[in-house]
Amino acid sequence: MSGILPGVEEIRAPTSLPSTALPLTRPPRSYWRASAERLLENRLGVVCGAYVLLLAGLAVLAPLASRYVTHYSPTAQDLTHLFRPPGGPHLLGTDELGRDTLTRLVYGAQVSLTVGFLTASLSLVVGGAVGMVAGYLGGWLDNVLMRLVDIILSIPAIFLFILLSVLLRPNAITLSFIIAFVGSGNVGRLVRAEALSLRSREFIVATQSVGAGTLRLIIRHLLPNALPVMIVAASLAVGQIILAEAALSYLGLGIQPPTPSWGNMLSNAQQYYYHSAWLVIFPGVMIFLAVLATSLFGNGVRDAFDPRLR
Amino acid sequence: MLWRYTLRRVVAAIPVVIGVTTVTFLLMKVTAGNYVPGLDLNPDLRPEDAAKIRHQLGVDQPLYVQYLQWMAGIFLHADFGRSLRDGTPVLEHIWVRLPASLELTVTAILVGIALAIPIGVVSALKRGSRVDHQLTAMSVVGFAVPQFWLGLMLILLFSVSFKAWGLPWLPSGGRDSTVGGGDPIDLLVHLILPATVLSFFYLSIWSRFVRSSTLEVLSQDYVRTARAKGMTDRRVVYVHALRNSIVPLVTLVGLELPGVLAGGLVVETVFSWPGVGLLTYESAKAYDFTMVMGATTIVALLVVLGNLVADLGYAILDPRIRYT
Amino acid sequence: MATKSRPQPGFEAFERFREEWSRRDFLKTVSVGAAYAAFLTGGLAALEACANAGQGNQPQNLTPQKGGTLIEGWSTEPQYLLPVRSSDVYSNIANRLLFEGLLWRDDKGKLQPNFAEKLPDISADGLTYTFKLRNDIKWSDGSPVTPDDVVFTYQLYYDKKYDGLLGNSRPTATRYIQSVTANGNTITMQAATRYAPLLDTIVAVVPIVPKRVLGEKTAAQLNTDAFNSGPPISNGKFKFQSWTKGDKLVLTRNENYFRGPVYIDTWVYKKVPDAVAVLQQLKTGEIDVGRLDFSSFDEAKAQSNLKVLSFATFGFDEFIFQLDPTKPQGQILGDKTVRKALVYGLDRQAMVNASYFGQATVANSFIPPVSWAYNKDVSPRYPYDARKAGDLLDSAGWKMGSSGVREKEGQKLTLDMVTNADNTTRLKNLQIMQDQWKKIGVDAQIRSLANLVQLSNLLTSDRNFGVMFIGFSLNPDPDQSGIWHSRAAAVGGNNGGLFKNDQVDKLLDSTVAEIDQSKRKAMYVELQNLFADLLPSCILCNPNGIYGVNKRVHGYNLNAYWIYGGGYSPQMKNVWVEQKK
Repeated sequence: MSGILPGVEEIRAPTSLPSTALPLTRPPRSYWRASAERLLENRLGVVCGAYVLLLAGLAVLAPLASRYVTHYSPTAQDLTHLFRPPGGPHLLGTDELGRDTLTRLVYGAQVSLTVGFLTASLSLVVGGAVGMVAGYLGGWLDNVLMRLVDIILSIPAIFLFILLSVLLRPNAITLSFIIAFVGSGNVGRLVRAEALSLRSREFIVATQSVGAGTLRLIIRHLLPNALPVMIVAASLAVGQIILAEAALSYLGLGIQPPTPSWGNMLSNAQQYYYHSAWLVIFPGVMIFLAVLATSLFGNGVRDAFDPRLR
Repeated sequence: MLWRYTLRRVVAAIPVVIGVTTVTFLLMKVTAGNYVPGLDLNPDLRPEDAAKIRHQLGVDQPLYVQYLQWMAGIFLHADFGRSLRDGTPVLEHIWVRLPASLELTVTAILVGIALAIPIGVVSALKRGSRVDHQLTAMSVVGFAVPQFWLGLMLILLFSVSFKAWGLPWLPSGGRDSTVGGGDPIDLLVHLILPATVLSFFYLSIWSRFVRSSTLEVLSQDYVRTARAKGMTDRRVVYVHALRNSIVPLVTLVGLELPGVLAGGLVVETVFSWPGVGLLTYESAKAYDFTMVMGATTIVALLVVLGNLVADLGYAILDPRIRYT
Repeated sequence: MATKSRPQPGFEAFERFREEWSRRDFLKTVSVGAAYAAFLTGGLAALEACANAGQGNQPQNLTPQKGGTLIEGWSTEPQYLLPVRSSDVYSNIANRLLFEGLLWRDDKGKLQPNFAEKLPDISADGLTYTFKLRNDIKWSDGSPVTPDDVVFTYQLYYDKKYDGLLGNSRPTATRYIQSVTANGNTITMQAATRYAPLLDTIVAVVPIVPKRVLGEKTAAQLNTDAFNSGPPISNGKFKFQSWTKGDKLVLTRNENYFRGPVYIDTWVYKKVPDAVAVLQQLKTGEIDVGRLDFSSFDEAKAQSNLKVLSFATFGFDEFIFQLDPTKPQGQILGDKTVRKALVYGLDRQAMVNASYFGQATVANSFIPPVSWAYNKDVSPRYPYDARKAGDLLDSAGWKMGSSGVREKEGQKLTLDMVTNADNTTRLKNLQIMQDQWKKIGVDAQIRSLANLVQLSNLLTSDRNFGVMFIGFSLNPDPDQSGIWHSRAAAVGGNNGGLFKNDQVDKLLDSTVAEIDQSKRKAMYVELQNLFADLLPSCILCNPNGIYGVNKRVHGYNLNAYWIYGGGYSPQMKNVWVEQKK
């Protein structure tokens, strides 16, 4: 698989207010506010964002859904009702141990989304910190950090996954750490490039001359300006992380049964395709829609933050 | 100043090389410890027998001794260890499987480029039309579908179902036919499905990029001038837009090159394509940990080498870089 | 999505079409079209029926054809083709076609002479075995197989000179064989101690290799010699042609095989990624023979080009109880009544139906039914009885608590169940066990380790578990000392539950030393009953081996003896394939 964060180009956030040379046609807005408004105007982006929120809500409320809506637990087996087709009390049918597919899909959302968001957040935090420090401070610290990143990035991600998954028994949390470990490198490089370009700006120099401490400068001045890049990278990455979890489950290195995840439901069901195709279709569709939604939302965010691309 | 830049790059690569070999060693030892396949859960072997075999294999030495042996082996003898399963050198195994991996990924990349350019250009020219929307939808789909799922569905359709319906069918895996294969046509037929699946992913990213890059060029002033002078859109695109998009596209493609050896692992697994990725995965499953360790190290070293070469290439092409 | 008011283009065309054609023409065309479609589908169905019928109504006296290729698909590759170096099933499949030995096992498991003229004479003290080598055995290059080859081969297994040779079959041979010498065609094997399984576990599985090629090499050289990946000569039914690692191993017919050449020209061992791909390739005909997963049984049976063989094997799946009294789980499970209750509380037939798709037999004895030592009247047995399970637990002091979990002296009946996560059948079994034990008030937690590495560590050294689900595949010889003897409880051994019983130890040792098979059988009957009462583990079932074989392959009669324990496939002599036209 290629890098975790594909297709991200560098964007430059404008740091000055819109020009007021013309007669006032509209009141000046902050960059953030302007971007938010642009995002809301993007219908597709909004729809996708709403879907993601819906999924997240469903994932959080999974236990309630299981108790009050579907009346099945995701791990309860019913050995007398194996491979039931959709319809009837099991709305989406049952699997090879008689477990309710719909409930498992909902719980699977919990796992897949947790892995997606947790990983993205982790790599943002770690990669962001590393990149910021390396880019701003430079010197030997930059060298050391970037060499470490090089080492991690030279080892092919999938090989690292294989090694790490054999080592740590994968559950949602450890899996997030594993994928984040591999993905922070790219984020780190991205943020470092941002930091490098920002550090020669006048406002930074001004802040330095006033005597601001390094940490304060990084957090209060560099970070907000690098944030758009990071947010865009993160929102695009979530989809790829969900796909990575599915691929790892296919290889047998992801979330282990009986805990349901869309990835392991899909790869388990593949041997039963012959007589129970719905077991393959439903998780596949859920993965597809989730990745689609997060990717399109990420595109929308990027378009909103960068006025050049209108 | 080229040689100075080269020297600096090489020096910077050395700690990476050492780091890569150390990290893989540590990961391997922490993961597998001193496990030897076939030695455990064997009702015929007594504990003392298993201990003796472990000693013969040298896996019961203290960690730092094994580490030094590992490093010495690589840097002095280019010995990346021997497979725990069949005793042949790891390097030999990788060497034999390398061409297959390259064949697959390079074909996928070429197909990806060849299709991404026309799709991106058409999308840009017909921006906002139904064609644009359809093509965008298609590329987004390519981005969002799990690779292994796509591969399995294609196998089910073009291999199993076609055969059942009596239509000419594509093989479900492997690089050549088991009996009487090996000729170029046979190799090509086997390459079709796996390369298609792998290129889908590249295609979706690159076509989007070509589209946005073309759009950017089309909005430039000099294009407006050219149009005003009567140049057709098509000529504008092919003569000016493409030329300006090619270099960034090459950069994007270049980003994928270090991953060329391992990038196709999932596709190799689905189609049992005998490449380096599949070898590593199966060795991990069979608990042949020296093989996994050796393979990971070799591929990582090749990546470092590839990056080095790429950096030098940029330095040659773009003189400004030499002074950074 | 269309908001246009004018009709769609397709609709327009249809309107025009209707205006231009008269009703009669329309009907005529449609009916012709329908007839054609019916013909096509009917034709296809008829063709398929013919094909199926042709397969089914084969005359029984079909004459074997010479020639053709047989492709077997396996998900794991062989390791070494030098037999002393590898004892795994996959290497055996290949190297037993290349090399044979003094004895072989027929399809009933009885030892038969192969390179030896007849079964060996055994001295009264059971320590000396005398064989007479046939003089018509040849290597594939025409030279004869000599007694020197036999002596040399055995030295590879037992002689100190080859101690550096890496091979899992060496320790047993070193322990029990003292010397092998030849005098003319007479081979004399001296055992170090009385060892009943000697013929079965050593002689029947040691194939003869050429001294001419390997005699001068040291152990270290043999470890890495090219022979491991491609022997230049062989004495079995096939000789080596090529091996593309990761892809296929190709053998061709050995014309100099002493019983006469076999029918098929070429035999291919094809590496297939996993069980799903095996079925796929069986369907498309890319492979002729393949081992199937339990879940594929029904689907394979529905294929018209395959026959599916499902047969009992030497192996069992079990769950071991922790019996070490120093461990908390061992304190709970050390009580025999509790163990019996747990087994009564499991519907093992339902487990077999769900996890093994019915392709396994519920076991009552630790000896598999295919073995000659099996006691079919073993007792006690534990048929599913949840109420009895509850009663037994009550009598052991575990009373049902308010939370639905039994308690005793303030402690809850919680079990720690372990297996390896990459085996779906085992995982399914644990999930079913958890469910069923919940009903009798036992709180069983599933802990799945990433893979077999960690599981075997847990079994052999760490030993921190309550119930471990594991499986073993066994030799045809019934000796299982390596699993149940108290000496196997030492660190590194397979007796992970630390089961120790003097009577069992004594019986295990006696059965190994008793050469007379009927006396051995009597001891095994006693041992099985003892085991069933002591219940150190519950043997869940004996899983079948399931194979799909293309109908064009004839005479391929698999059973337990063919695949496991290194039987030489003498039946391959009768295997022939219909050639593709």
